[in-house]
Amino acid sequence: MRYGDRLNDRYRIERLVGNGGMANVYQAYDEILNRHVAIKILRTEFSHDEQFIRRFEREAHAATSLNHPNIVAVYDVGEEDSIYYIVMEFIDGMTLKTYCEGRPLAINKAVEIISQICDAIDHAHAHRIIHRDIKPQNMLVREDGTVKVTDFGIAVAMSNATLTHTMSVLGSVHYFSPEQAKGKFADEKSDIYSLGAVLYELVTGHVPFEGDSPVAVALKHLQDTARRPSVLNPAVPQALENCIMQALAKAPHDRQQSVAEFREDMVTALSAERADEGIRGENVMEQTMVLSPVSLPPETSRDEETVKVATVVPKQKKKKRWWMVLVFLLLLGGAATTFAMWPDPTVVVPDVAKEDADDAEKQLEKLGFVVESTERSSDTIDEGVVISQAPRAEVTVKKGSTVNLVVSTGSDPVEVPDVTDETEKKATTILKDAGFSKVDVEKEESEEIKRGNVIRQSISAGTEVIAKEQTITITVSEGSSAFELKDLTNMSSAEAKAYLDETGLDGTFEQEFSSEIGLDQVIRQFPQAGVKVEPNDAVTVFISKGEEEKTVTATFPEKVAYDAVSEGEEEPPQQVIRIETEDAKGKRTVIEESIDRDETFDVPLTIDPGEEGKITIYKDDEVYRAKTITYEQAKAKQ
Amino acid sequence: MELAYLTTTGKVRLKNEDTVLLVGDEKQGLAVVADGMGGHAAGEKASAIVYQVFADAYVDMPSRPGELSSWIEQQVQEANSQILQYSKTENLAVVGTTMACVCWSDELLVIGHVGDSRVYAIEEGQLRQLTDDHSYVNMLKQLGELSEEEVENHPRRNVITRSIGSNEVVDVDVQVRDAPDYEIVLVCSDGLTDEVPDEVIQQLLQEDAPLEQIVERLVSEANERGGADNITVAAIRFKERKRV
Repeated sequence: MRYGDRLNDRYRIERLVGNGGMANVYQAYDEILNRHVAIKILRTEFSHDEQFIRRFEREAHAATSLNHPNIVAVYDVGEEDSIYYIVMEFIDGMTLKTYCEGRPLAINKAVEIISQICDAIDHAHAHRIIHRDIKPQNMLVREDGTVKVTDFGIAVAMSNATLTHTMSVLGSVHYFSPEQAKGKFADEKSDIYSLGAVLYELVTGHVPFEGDSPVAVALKHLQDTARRPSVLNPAVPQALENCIMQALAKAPHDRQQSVAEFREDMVTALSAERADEGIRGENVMEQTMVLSPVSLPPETSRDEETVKVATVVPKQKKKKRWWMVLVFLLLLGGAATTFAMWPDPTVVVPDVAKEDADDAEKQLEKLGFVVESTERSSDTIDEGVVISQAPRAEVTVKKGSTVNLVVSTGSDPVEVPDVTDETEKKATTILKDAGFSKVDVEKEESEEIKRGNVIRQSISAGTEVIAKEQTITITVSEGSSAFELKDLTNMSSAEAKAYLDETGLDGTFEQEFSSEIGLDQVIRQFPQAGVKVEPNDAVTVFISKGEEEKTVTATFPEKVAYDAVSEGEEEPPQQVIRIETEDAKGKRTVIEESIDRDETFDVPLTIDPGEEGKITIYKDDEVYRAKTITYEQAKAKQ
Repeated sequence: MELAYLTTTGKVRLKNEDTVLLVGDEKQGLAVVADGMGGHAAGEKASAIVYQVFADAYVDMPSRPGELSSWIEQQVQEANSQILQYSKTENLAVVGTTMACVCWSDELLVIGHVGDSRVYAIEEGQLRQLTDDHSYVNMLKQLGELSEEEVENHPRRNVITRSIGSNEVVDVDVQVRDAPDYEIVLVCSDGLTDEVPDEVIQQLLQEDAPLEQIVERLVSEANERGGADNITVAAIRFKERKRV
């Protein structure tokens, strides 16, 4: 793709904005809708890998069902001349990776960014789409501060082909979960781990685990505990550290239960209410044991042990904090700092639940809060009214903190869930759960979707409907019309063509030389016999155009008559025969000798396909006979 | 001594991106298998470069252990720089190849490999894998993090951690064996080992048949089990077949 190239007669390529192992990203102009778009084009190296393409398309299609302000919208997925592409919303900004340049961000800023990403991932999870490749490189920060997540599900579309890690396949190794490292199925909990890893990097300036190779990093995800963020950046409050460390728990069930819970944990971690939080969960033991092994009397029971260890915590913490403050004062000298440990003016959060969202927002902003709101449907609370708030009322927080409001969108228009590729039974259950009272089922043949699974749904995923009043129809696969391709070898081209026409296959005929298969017969085919195909599939048939024409060397017997001695002459006259040839070896004399009777000479000629050879016979320096031999004649003579 | 090799496209791929070189006699010889990757002609080109580099260098193959080891390393580095040059000229992001080779000279046997092409030997009636795959899953397995079953079902099992043509420098694993008691040595690409379990490979290698037939059976076994990738096998029988 170059500047000015047009894709699908519509998208004019403007410039290359990024390249990765699997795809290149271009800025382009959509000449129909008159807007800039970003186009991700699969690298041509992959465009012949059918399985890869299929998954790439399916995942990209899934992503089109997502509609959220923090998700880069996918407008179109297509293919033109084996160029596979995804057309996406154009974001004028930079990736989060570039944005933070390896330095820690201010804690508030980091939390604000991740909270936007949480909203996006939460939305995707509600549509049963797992991102699986959450990393700062997949997040775009716009100038106005909006963060957008991209590349949903693309990670799944990995090919079976052998790949090296340098091909960015393991590029996300710094953010992937222990279960992903082990090759287990990645679910919502994996995305939570990755979110924790990104948050870790934003607040500390380091990824949780560093290593020389992808394998080394993967191993650390499986075995090691990450350094506590506060060790790297003392400004990280204990509550936030707890939130991060829980997300980074090795066992999925030890992590926050949902992205929403993780977000809540993260956002409230900055509240005054949690300012004195201790080290959370099972890490208490680990951490304390490492820092100061407690010797216990041998008869101590497990329970007592926990209690005893837990009491050590505050002491440890105080000590650590004290030491850090000192270092910081030394480092910063007299400079003013804005660290969390410095006392800030505080305010009490008012109760705005059940209030009109606009009023609530005004009231909060007046008190100096930053307000963020999320929308949720509710049967009991009217549209535009606050359902809940975080932090809750009466809590004392720093001035300028963020208050999150959940605002009702009124009585339940639900977003239709995506049930494609689910089994008929599961799809029906999901839809009934979503509130649909009537689910109709239709059947259809399909090669791509497994028999019994849903091919498509009559109301597309993401559409908002009042489910109770709607009938939704799902189309379930009956399996495919695929059949086994016959062995065409040795058929005549006409027979092969008849077979392809009859079965509706899209045949292409290629000519090849063959020494074994006769002219106009099938030498081989692709795909091979026995492979499952269905109508319209491409089949290439290789037809023999006979034996390959090679340079031939043949010998031509040339008879030369001896002129009888004239009467009266004693001595026979000298008769010198000279034979010259002109062929692939050039012009040369091959025979020169005297004869005294009729003689036959074997004259060799080497002729290239389509060329000719010449034999010129001289008797006593005069042309006796000249002839031209064609390639075909030479071949016949061979 | 018998030598035999076979390489095929398999049943799924359109092209054969493997190459195989097998030359030599009782005194000395060389077997090389390379499994190229990358689209268009890139995979074929990469493995063809490995073939050509070894084929050209064979006449100067030394016979002393130390020299033989560094000779293998030199050829791999040479192939590496040629492939890098090629991918730079063609502006390709994804090019690379594996390589597994065996050189023998009198009693000496030297094995070299990069990636997941393998060398096996039949020793005292038992099949032994002589190379450790440079793959993501195998490394985690060696570190005790993945079980055999997890390795087989891992979605990233085809990700290799070393290859020729992907980095400025390649790390080659070279092993020197002095007078090993091998009956048969097998060099192969993952198109064989992904499809055919070790037990079956062992069984086929021990059949009382000419080596050429055994090699054909190995390949057809892989094809019958799916033939999902190119299949390449090179075998050397060092000992006379035991006639029953």
